[in-house]
Amino acid sequence: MKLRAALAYISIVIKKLFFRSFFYLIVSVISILLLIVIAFSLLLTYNDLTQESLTRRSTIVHLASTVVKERFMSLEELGVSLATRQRFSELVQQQKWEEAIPIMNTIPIDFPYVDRVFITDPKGILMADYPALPDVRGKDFSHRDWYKGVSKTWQPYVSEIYQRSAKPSWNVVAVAVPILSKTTLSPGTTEQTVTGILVLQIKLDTLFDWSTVIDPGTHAITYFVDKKGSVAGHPNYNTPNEIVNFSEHPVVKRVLLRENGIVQWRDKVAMKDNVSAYRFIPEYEWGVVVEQPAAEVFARRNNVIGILISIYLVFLLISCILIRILLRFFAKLETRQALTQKDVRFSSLIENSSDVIAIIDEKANITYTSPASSRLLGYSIKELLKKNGFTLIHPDDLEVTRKALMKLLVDPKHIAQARYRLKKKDGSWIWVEAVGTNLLTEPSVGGIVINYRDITERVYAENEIKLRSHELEESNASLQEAKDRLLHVLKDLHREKANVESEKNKMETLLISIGDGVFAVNAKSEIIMVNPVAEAVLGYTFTKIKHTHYTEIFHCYQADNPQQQWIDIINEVLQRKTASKHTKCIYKKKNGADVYLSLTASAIKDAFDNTIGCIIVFRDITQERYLEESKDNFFSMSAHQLRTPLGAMKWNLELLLNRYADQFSDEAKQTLQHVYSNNNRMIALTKDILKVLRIEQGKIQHEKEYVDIISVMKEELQDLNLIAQKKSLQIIMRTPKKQVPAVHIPSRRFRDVIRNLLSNSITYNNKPGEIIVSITVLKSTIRIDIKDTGIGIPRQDQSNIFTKFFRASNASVTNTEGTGLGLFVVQSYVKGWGGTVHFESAKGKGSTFSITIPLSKEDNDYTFDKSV
Amino acid sequence: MTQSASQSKKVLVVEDEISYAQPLVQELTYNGFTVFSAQTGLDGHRIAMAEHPDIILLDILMPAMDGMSLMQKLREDAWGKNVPIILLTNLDPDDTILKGVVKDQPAYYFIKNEVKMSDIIEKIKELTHTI
Repeated sequence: MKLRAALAYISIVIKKLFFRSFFYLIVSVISILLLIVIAFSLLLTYNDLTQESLTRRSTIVHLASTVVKERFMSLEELGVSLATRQRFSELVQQQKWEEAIPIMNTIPIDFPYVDRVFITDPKGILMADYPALPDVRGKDFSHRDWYKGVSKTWQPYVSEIYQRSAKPSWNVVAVAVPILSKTTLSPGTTEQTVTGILVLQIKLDTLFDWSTVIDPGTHAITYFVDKKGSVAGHPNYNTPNEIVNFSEHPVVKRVLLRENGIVQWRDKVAMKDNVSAYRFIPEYEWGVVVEQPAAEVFARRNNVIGILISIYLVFLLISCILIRILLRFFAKLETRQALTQKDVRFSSLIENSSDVIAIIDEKANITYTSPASSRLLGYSIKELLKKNGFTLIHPDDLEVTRKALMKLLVDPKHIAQARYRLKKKDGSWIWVEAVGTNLLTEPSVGGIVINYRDITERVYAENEIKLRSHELEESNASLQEAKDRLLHVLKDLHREKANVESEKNKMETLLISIGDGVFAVNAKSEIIMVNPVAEAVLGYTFTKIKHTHYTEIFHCYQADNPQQQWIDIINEVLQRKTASKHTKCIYKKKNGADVYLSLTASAIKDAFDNTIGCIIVFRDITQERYLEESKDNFFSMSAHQLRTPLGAMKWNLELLLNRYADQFSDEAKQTLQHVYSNNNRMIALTKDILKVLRIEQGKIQHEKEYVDIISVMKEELQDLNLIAQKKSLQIIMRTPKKQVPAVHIPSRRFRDVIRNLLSNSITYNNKPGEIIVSITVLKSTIRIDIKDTGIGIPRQDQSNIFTKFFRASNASVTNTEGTGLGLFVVQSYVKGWGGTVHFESAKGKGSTFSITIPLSKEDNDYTFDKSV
Repeated sequence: MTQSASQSKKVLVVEDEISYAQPLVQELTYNGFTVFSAQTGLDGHRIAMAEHPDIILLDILMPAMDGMSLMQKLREDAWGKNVPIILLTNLDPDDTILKGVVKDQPAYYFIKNEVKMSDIIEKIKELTHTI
């Protein structure tokens, strides 16, 4: 047994550990996977957003370069359109420079972004300008970049940035366009010759305006560089007369290498990271740069990533909390399970122990006492709970017990022992030996625990021995030795007893000492434990039936139907249909004897709520049942036997009253009348008692037939009509307009029910009064209401009205003849065919009794043909 | 109130319990019937065959041929098969014996301790057409 228990315990521990570590493993694997997924998705998002930001920069620089290209192109076109004007080119060809001015001055007027226009001869000597500036006409400008560019191929050319010599000497960009004239070399052949150069000068301010056409984003700047790296349109270097050269700038360097792209670089002066997108415009050899602080470029990316990380962090935090809660919950569940098992075990031990365990407070009021106390003392538990412990103690023992209690209260660690006498309910005294422990500070107990046992017989025996030894001592000193020996024996006895008591603490011993039969089966239905009481009842010893399938020896039949196999509740428990179930059954011993058992089967569960067996506790109730049956039989027989003499008396009294009336005085006749009505009462009573006995023995046969409710009720009303008339009662019957379906119920029982209810409504009615009988057909039932205007049922009696032999206080005054069985019969019958009984009543305001009768489906089709 | 002797109908009372038989015989006589009484089924049969009464009151539980057997025997007879029979019994209405009888052979029955003698007389008068 011990080994098995140990093995079982170890297996549970292993299971638990395995379960724990398995759980942790799962949780950590899930967590790692989750973290990988999170990291990966973050990385992905980061890259996507970076790419997106860079693409945006590239797009902006592309747009800006398009704008510059388009502006330069339109300037070229503007120049070309003037240079190719007939009149203008003729004037230039004829070197009438002054006359050409009115034509060319339309440009700065119509196109204000062109700051200045001038023309030179093909060698670069300025001939005319508008607006005219001093000290420039006649000067040679062939060293200028624009001249070099345009004279190379005589195509329109956009120059680099330079500081013009005319005052104010602003920084400008020039667009040079050759002025061509046709010269007739010989008839038929013409040649185009360069006769002058038209130059449009644009201030750098204008280029700055261009750089603002496209919004490059927060804190971003757009600027242009020429082929030498000079800057234009830069908001920080927009100086009108100083050329800023950026050729050493890391980004501009790339542009000058005719590259396009995007780069992140560190501004060492401002200590800032910048992102610059750049583009080279090959047509004009200019470049465009869009520069923005890296923080701004990646602001959106950083925001999104920040938000994502915080969301993931919150998510992780919640997960951690959830896991923690889950683990706590598991731990709690385990502890609670363990506690519950412990509780059940301990409470069943306490409840079934032959020792009494009681809890009292500081004033010795009993707050708890185990069932053994009522066996010992004869009081019910309820009675005991109302008592103070001292009221039960013998007056001579009060001092001892009070002292013991005081000691306990003063020193909570003290364990008090005392012997004293307790008064039983029948007035006799028993000796008990008690041990008290102060557990007032223990919150789950909150009292002083007294554990005591009946030692009356032992005390008597001891007293006897003492008395005897005393006598011996007095009579003969030589017997002193014998007495000593006797005392030794007593001591040995005490020691033995103490040993036994310590053993008793063990659970097995306790199980054995239980007065009920106990046996247990494992999950395979094999018997694993049988206590001595069970051995005696079952007729087998444990060793013989160990590991036998319980069905092989436990042959049981239904308690009220011995022909039928019992409903095997042990199997139900093992199949986990129920945790615990109670039943009564007949156990057939192997010698053929029947034993009536009251039996409870409860599941034995492990820490994981698995049913690992079933424990069966039973009590032999054969004797009780036999007594019950004998009592019922006696009642039944008595009632039967009374019928014949009562009937004979009835007839003889009838004869006396009807035929010999004139031979009696009036007083004698009255007396006879009393005898006659009392005789009738006894007849009614025996009849009712027989009905009740039959109901209780379950001998009622519900032979159903189709009953026409209305005609039965009419017949019963007819029978009672005479009595009703005597009491001046008006009877109203309300039936539904449509056909009332026939119901399938025991017809005679239905008559009994209706007669009982109607006769109540007459008997307990006021004179004059009213009775309303109504029948209602509902969806699945028929309802019959019988309403009277009588004395009603007082509120305090209403809950007992269907109890056997109970009569309402006002009913017994109104009618002394009732048996108190009528409504019990009504309820038993109606419930027997699946109906219900209700009532509404108030004292002095009449009662309404309602019964319902279920309609089965076929009842609806079955109706009585009234014409037959 | 009483019937004249020349018209008086014959009633046979078969009842072993004298305390029932006596008041019934007296009441019947008072009501003008010619009453024969028997205390066993055998006697009852003999008298019935000899006198051919107009109606028979029959107790069920009796020594020396019970009421059931007597009724069965009477029903086999040419005269007996039509004679009205009233069964008197203290058996419970739920008793299976009683149920069987009433189902098989047409007869009227009264539960002795529930019925008044006057009700029985009413029924006899009705069945013998003396009303």
